[in-house]
Amino acid sequence: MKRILAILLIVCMAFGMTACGQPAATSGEKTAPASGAESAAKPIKIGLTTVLTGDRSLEGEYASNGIKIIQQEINDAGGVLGRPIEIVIQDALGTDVGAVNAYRKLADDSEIVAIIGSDSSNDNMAVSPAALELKIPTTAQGSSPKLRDMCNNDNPWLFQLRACDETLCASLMRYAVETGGYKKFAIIHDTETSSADQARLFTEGLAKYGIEPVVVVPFTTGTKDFTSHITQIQKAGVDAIIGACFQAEAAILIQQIRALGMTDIPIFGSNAFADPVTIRLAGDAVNGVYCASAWVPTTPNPKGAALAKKYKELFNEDCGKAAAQVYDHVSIIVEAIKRAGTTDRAAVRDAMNTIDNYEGAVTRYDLRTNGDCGRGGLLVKVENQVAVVLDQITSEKIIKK
Amino acid sequence: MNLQLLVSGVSTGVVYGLIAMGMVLIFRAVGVMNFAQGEFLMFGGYLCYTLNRLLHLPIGLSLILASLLMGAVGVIFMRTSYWPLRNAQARAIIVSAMGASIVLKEGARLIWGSIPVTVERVVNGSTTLAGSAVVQWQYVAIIVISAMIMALVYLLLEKTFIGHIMQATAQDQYMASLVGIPVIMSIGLTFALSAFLTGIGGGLLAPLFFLNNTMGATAGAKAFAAIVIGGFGSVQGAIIGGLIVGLVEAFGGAYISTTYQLVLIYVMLVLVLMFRPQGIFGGKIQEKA
Amino acid sequence: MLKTKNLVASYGNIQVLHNVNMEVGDKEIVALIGSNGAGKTTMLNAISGHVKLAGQIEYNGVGIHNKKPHTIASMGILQVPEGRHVFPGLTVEQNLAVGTVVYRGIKLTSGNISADIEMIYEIFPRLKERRKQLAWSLSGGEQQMLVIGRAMMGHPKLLMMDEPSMGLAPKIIEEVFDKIVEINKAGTPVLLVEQNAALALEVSNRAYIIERGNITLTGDSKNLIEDDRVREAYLGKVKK
Repeated sequence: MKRILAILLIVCMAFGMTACGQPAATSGEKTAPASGAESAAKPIKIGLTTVLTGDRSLEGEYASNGIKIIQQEINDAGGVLGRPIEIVIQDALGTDVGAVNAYRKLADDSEIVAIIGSDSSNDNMAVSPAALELKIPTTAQGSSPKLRDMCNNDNPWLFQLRACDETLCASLMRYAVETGGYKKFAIIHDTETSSADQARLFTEGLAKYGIEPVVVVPFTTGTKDFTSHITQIQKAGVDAIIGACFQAEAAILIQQIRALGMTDIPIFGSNAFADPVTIRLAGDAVNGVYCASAWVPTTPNPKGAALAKKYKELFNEDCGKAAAQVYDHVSIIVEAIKRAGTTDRAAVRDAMNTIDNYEGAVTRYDLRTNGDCGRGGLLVKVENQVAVVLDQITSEKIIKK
Repeated sequence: MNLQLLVSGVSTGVVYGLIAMGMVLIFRAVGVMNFAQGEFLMFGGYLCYTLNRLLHLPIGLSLILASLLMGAVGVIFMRTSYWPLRNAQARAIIVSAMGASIVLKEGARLIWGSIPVTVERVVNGSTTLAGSAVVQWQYVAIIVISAMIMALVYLLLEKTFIGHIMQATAQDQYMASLVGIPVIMSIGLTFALSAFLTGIGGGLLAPLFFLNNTMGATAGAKAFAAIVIGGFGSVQGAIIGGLIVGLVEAFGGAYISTTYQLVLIYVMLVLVLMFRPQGIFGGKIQEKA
Repeated sequence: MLKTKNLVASYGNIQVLHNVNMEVGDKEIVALIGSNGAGKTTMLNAISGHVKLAGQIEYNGVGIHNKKPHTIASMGILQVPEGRHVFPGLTVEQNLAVGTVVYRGIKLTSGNISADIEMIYEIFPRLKERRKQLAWSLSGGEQQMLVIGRAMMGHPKLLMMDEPSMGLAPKIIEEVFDKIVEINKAGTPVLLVEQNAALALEVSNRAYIIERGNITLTGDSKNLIEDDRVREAYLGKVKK
């Protein structure tokens, strides 16, 4: 009896776990309208792997909300090829193994035309072999240069629909040195791959001016107390701090830098530093933070501004990066389906390469080569807890023949 | 000696101590480590957030109510994750606790979302000590409140009748029922006390480190290290172990390596296991063979 | 006051007690004698609610079978189990105090129990010397005294003792049994389970002999000492 109870309990828990992962996916399915004739109204399916549970589940929340908006917009406008679209979501769990499993689960459904990867270069690179093997057009939200090279050279099925970090990091450093006039920098970064990559790109950006960071302080994801790290930076006596990490750590870090007495020191940070979540959590402390960001809800881009407004109305939160990115990814995939005139995966893939000037909510996209398709970002400074856009960063795509 | 580091090390240390002490209470009562203890910290923090930010109660009251509610969560946890399996093997109970930790973690995400949240500080502002060391008052509040709670729980266990009843049940369930102790109630009280103790830490940490649904795992792992360092099953050991882990993290991070903060803790753990495997306070109480 | 009717108990598929009928009167010491594995301890555990059973147990006319152990204890039936179950991490005095939970319930403080404790110290003066020591540090005999004393603290209406002589030195055994008689004289009926049949028959008023879960013989202790079957099987003596 006890044993049966035990097994029952475990089964219940397992069920509870899987049940936790489902709501977003099912709600996505439900919003697909079921109107018109049977075959004509059969929705076109697009897959999305995003992180619904675990450490990075914030991404999944943004992405699921972004999906709701774009799915409705497209379907209200009559869908594509006369059919509505339906986005099927799978939980990538926040690990590369989870991303691959989620990807393969989606790939099992032969009706899925294309799959959108999660907001992590690591995850995107992990699913690359599967995309190549199964021949499914796949879009990546990651921004690492390694991912760009992989898309350009190794995998014609994988598209990096994002500005590569190289562009953004270099322009932030240019601003720091040329406009700010700072010379002594401390770099503090998460040891997780993409943050470490950004830290490297920042270092390279400084190297162009012959500047070497005075001190580099790495920390592990999930670090809560930065007293020891900041103590090191204080001892080094720098005039600006460069940071690379995710939102939660960025907010704590900024707050503790200010609390430990460096109230006026400028902070230059990766994407997350001007994210709505970071701003809300860090409060006043975040003022004076500079960031070269792919996305902020205060973007001057008209399409982006409209999305930010709609998101705020619907969900009463500021629109996060992952929401804007999946919004663009779906739009581009739908555009490719339209150009291909079919849902055949290979035809859609080829059509994607014909998109050379697409204005999205985040930025302009050029898909003539698979890597570095996003053309730019925004240089922002946080003032009064609002990300103020100083400049739009754009670069022309370099196409090697 | 860097005061700034000392205060940060001690304050994170006492929070590890709160978790470790809660784990030890349950370990002594049922003989199994509760791997969901870190989630009590997270859940307590979110309850405090609900009371403070959503219902707009003052932070002091929110902390007290949240930790009392955690007591109820502890009882529910006991009835669902431990009691049905009390006669099963220890590993079954461990697996069940791990499952419960996932339920708590993802349950919190469903209720409160994935966006990190924060609560008010107990005390605002900071002070500058010894010229250059900046100390935020919230750190001091964490140390003072945690120390008070620990002392209270210690007194309850050691100096009161109810505490002796709980200890008796922990030491010998069969005999406890024979002297007339309702075992389920006594164990339930222990779980309630444990969840109460750990739960208050969440609300205290929230304004400094923010709350997210996965914060319990790292904290729980460090508390476990604290228990091994302090000595399995010893309440004093849990507190001292927690402090050691917090201080090693702060000073090791500043003077040795920030990248390897966690590694330093485990090096410490290995050293303790090599030279004093019973932990610092281990082996004081033992049954005469 | 205590009566069992057709008591049947099993562990899994193995039946341990077969229709046991037993009775303990108001002021008696009743001994339950049998060899190892005969079902003596199961009998006590059945009465105190730790064994699932069929049949009936009546206590002052009320059925107590299938009640929870702590409820049965709170009715005044206290068991002193085999193997000296002290609470090792509590002091002697704390152990004694915990004994009062049976009538007091779970309360913050233990109330005024110093008179009761003094009474226990009068019966077992050695416990007084050790009052502040943790129970695990006591000797075997002292632990046995503590366990009996703790049961006394609960004001038992029926005391059930399981092998109080086990593992003790002969001199201490004598002392413990003297105390059992003393406690009984003061008005508490005792159900005594023993392997040491000679000793048990000497102190008890009546006795039951249990063999493989069946009561095979019963009667006044002084008659049973003379009984040939008993002498041969349990007292190690040849027929007269």
